[in-house]
Amino acid sequence: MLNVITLSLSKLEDEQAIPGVGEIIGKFMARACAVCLDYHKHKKGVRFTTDLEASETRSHYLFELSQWEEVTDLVQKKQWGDKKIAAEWAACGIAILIMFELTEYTTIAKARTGTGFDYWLGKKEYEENDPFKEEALLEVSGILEGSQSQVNRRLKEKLEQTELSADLNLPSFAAVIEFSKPIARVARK
Amino acid sequence: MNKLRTLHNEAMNYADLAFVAKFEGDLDTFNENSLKAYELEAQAADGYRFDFSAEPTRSVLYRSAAALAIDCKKYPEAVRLIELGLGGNPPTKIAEQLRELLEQANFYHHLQLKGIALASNELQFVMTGNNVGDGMTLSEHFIVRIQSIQNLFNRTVERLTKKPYKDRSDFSKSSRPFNLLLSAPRKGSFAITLRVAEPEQLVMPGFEEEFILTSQEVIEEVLECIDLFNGAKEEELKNRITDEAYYRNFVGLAKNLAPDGDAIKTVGFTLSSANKFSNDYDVKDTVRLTRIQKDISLIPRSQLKEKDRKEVVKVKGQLLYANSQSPSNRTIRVVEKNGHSTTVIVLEGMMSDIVRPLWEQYVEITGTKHRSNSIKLIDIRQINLEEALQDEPLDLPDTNAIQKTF
Repeated sequence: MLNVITLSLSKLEDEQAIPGVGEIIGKFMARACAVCLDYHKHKKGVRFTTDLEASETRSHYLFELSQWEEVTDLVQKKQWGDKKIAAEWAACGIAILIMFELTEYTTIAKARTGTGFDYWLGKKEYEENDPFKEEALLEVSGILEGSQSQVNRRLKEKLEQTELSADLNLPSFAAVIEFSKPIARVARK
Repeated sequence: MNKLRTLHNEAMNYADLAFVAKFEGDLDTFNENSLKAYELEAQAADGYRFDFSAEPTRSVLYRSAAALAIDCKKYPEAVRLIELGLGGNPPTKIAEQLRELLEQANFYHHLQLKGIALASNELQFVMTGNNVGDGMTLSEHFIVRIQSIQNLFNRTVERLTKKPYKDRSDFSKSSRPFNLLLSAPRKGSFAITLRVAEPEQLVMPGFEEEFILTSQEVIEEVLECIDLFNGAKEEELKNRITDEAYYRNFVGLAKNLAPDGDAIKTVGFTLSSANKFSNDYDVKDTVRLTRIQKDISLIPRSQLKEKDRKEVVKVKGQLLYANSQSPSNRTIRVVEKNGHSTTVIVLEGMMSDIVRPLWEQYVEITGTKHRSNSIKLIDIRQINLEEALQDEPLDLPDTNAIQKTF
C-alpha cells in the first residue's frame, strides 16, 4: 500500500519554502494546474501516480491534490485557450512541489532566458550567496493528454537535454507530468 | 542576503509582473514592469562585471538582463550585456544561449523602422544571414522569398473569398490578386518595404454590402498565419486554414520563405502601427520566421499512417516531367544519376507554387512507396549537383512541433 502525500498548490507562493518561484508566478502555476485538471474533469482529491528514479532504484508514490481554484469558462477562453501552454506551466508547478516533497532540494532561484525562465535547485538549508552557484538543475515537460509510452519517451528526451548541468558538473533532474491519468515521472541523472 | 542577490530578486519580481501582464494582454503594465526588471537585472549583472570567477552567476545574470532588454526593445543595450556575458567564462550552454540572444537582438534592431513610416497597406520585409550584406544579397535568396510572399498573398485572398483551391490560380473580378510593390533595399541588413496594392475592392460572396476585403486584412491574415506556423501551432493553423489543399500550399510557401540557417539566418516582417495584432500571449508589431527549412516537412512524419512511416524513401535527381492535366493525376518524374526515372504523385496544393518553380532543377524528394515505380510526395527541396550525386542516409524531420523547455 502506497503512502498518499498531499500536495498544496498554495505552497508555490510560499517564499520561505520555495524561494525561487515567488507569489506572482506561484499563483500563475497554480491557475495553470487548475485549468489542466478542470479540462480533464478531475475531482478534488485526484491522485498523481508518481515514480522517482535515482541511483538505479525506482520508488513509487501517490500525490493527492485536494484544492484548486475554480475555473470559469471566461478565464479558460480568454487567457488559457492554448492548453499546451497551460500544461507546461502546470507541470512546472507540480514538478517543483514534488521535488520539494521527495528530495533534499527546493527551487531557490530563477533567471530569464530567451524564451521564458529557468529554475535552479538548491539544498533546502542553503546559504544565500551567489544565486546560481547551486546544486542541481531541473528540466520539466508537461503533457496535457498522452500515453505512458509518450511520458517515458519525453522523460528520456528531457534527461538528454540536461547539457547545462553536465557542463557545470551538477546533478540534474527531469520531470514529466501528464494530466489525463494523471502521472508524474521524475528521474535523476 | 547580499545586495546583488536582492537586486536580482527585485528584478525577477518585476519580470514576473511583466510576464503575467503580457499573458493577460495588458501591454502598458508589461512595458512598465519589463523596464524596471531590465534596469535592476542589468545593475545586478554589472555588479559581477569584473568577477570572472563567479560563474555561472555572472553569465546567467547577463543572459537574463539581455533578455529583459530585448523585451523593452532596448536592442543596443541588449547587445552590450550579451557581449559582457560572453566576455567572461560562460558555460558552453549559456554561451550558446547568449549567442542566440545576440542574433535576436540584432535582428529586432534591423526590424525597427528607423524613421520609415509604414502605411496600413505596407509592411517591412527583412532578411539577415551570411549571404546578406549592407542592403545587398544574392538574388536567388531574395527572388524565391519574394515570389513566396506574393503567392501567400494571392492564395490568402482566394481562401478568404471562399474560392475552392485550384493549382492554377483563376482570379476573377471578385478575387483578384493584390499587386505587390517593392521599395529599394535599405542598408543595415536587407530591408525593403512591401506595399500591398488593392486593384479594386474585393468582396466576399454573400456579403456584398457588409464585407469588403482590404489589403490591411490580408496582411494581418498572412502574418498571423506565419506567426502560428513559426510557433509550430499546427492545430490553431489548421483551424484557420481548414481546406487541406490550402493548408499544404501554405506550409510549402512558408517553407520556401523560411531561413536555411546559414546563408539566410532569419526573415521577418515589421507591421505598421495600424496592423499590429494580438495572439494568446503577445501584441505583435513584428513577426519573425526562425524555423529552418530543413526542419520543416511539407507533411510531418507524425501525420503519416503507421504503414507509410515504414516505407519512407528519398530520391535525388533532376525534375524533368510534370503532368497536372487532371486533378486525379498530378505527377512529376525525377531522373536519378543512373538514368532511372521515378514517378512522384503530388497532392493538391503543392504542384503550382511549390513543385513547378523547381522545374529542371536538381531536387531531393521524400515520399512514401506507392506502387512498384512510384512514390507519394511528402517533401521536396532543391539541391545542387554535388548533393544530387552523393548518397546520404535517410533523415526525415520527425514532427513539425517545436519542443519547449523550461
